[in-house]
Amino acid sequence: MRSFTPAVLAVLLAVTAYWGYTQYRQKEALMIEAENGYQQAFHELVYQVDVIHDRTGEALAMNSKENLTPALTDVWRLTSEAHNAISRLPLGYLPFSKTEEFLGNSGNFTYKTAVRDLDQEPLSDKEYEQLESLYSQAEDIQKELRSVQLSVLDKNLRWTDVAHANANGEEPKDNTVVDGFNNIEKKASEFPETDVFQATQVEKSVSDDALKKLSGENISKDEAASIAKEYFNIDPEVTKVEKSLKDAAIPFYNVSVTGQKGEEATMDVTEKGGYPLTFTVNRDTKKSKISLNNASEKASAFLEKHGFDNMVMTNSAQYDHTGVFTFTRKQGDTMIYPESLTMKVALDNGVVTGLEAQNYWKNKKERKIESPALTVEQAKKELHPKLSVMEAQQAIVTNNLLKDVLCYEFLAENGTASYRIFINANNGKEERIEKLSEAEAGY
Amino acid sequence: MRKWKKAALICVSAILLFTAHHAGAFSNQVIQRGAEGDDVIELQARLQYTGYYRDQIDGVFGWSTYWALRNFQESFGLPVDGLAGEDTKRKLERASKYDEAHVKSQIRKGRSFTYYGGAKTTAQSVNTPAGFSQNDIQLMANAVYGEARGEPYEGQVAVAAVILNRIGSETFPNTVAGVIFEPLAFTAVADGQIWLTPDETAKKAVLDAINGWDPTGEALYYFNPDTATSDWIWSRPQIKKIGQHIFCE
Repeated sequence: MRSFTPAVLAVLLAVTAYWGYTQYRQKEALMIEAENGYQQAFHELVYQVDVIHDRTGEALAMNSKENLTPALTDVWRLTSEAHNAISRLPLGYLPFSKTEEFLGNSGNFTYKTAVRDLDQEPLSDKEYEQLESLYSQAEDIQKELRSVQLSVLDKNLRWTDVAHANANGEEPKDNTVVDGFNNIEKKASEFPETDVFQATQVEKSVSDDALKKLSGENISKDEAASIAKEYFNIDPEVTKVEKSLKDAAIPFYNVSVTGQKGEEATMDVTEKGGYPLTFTVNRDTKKSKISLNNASEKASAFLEKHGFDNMVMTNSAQYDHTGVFTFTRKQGDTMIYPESLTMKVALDNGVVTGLEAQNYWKNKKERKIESPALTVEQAKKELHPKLSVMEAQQAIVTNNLLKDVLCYEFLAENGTASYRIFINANNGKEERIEKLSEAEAGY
Repeated sequence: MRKWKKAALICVSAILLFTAHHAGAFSNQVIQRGAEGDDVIELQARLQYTGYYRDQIDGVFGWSTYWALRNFQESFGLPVDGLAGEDTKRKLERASKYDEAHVKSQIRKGRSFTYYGGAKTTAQSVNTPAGFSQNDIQLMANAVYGEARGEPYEGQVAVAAVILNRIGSETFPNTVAGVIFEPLAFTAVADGQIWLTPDETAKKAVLDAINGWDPTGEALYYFNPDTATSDWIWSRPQIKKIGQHIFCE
């Protein structure tokens, strides 16, 4: 009897411990799930304000109803999504009414103007001013939100902690979130009462099937390996060559190599014709020794050496000690933007460390360029009157209907932002407007 | 003796002053759009001094610096190419003054200040690919590290590329956060590993993917064949195997 009691107690304890542990596990899982929901809402909010800012900026440069109405509709949609995201956050007592008011006002303004026939009744000067102030207000809120976002990411702040503190009526321990939101609110309340309130990255336009048209003989694994070695300037040893799996758009070899200094590098080479699709070299880049300009010359020479003809640099940017460049084929006076590729060059030793050419190969073809119906001066008249043009040239771009069209490309600015605008060279239609991004402030 | 000391002191300080004055000279690189660093700070400060540049001195050669430089070149009878080469730099040096120590100290403090009556200067900026903020990159790096640390570099770029391909696809959310936090989409999100601190490799991989690299051939899914339990994922068209992951459409 005496030995029976402790045994029962021990069993009970074990059962309780197990029960407690499962409870704890379940609670943890639910916490993570709740946290993920909050994180999603918050990061989406920041992103939506980013896009509101960009889209209003683009709208400022638009002159045709076909573009302006969708842009305004988009802002309207985004304001309502941002509203929605705010409502999913455990803000509790955090003041946020002014920001919501800003979103509400922007929503009203864009709705009003988007449903109107802008051909019949274009934006008035007053409305244009309102749009301008919406743009600058969005910028203020965007900046503050981004700095809150940075501290959330940097310090791994949990929204569940904020929610918990709110529920218990205490101040959350880390005040960055609270302070940040207070700042945003303050900015938003400074807006006067009377106020109503993507890269030139290489385009992905054509289907995968476009790669199938590449011509040439089939190559072997060994040939793929030696082609890859030619492209890498690191005297590498081939460690592995693997064939793509059965559903790849076009069969290719994936070649992995290791360089003399331990760099790992991989490259995809098509089986038919041995075309280089993409490669990267992963190495630690030391302090920059050559300039971005110098690196772009090296990239250019590399392209020439490997048979990419008439490629012109159309974008360049430095990220730490790596230069990233976009090159575009130029035929006569015309830039062929669909036939663009991206390259990386290490700024410490000038070696090419990456090439991404899948879209280039998809879009590459013989093109006959007809002479345009409009002159550059005629096309210029289609631009928004507040823009001053800095550069103009002929270019082919892919439009919304995924058709390649001949355009005049204008680089222009309106005092607050720079734009790249494509006007159809035959019918004067505004085919595309991009707000050119400026560098983002470091925090 | 004291006199001699005094003379030496004057001499030394004169040398110091002299070198300090000359320290702010351009290096001999040709500066082009997209560049970052000290030469860009000097370029912006000098263009601001001459009245051509009205934006922030932030150390990144962006579009507004580019227009300012071209306008300067045009007015000074130089070839208008938007590159700060030898001739342009010499003309700029003659036309402007540059107090390197002052400008840099203000930038380091991240303090808004006015330089030569021009616009404000804030903390040094960084290049980010169009359409993405530094925070987007950070969030993606978290996801890539949580999902694919220990994978080869190509495999990390590939995971980042899948996130981007999903953003571009109509059947997935349209934002970085939307895709990453979609319930049950990524195991690292479900088990909290996304909050591990990512390393530099993960960040580099994300930057490559955003700049256009896609080693997956436009994949939307990936899975580990050793641990995948769903039949459905095995039925997806497979494109390529990288490290432990099979990437599919």
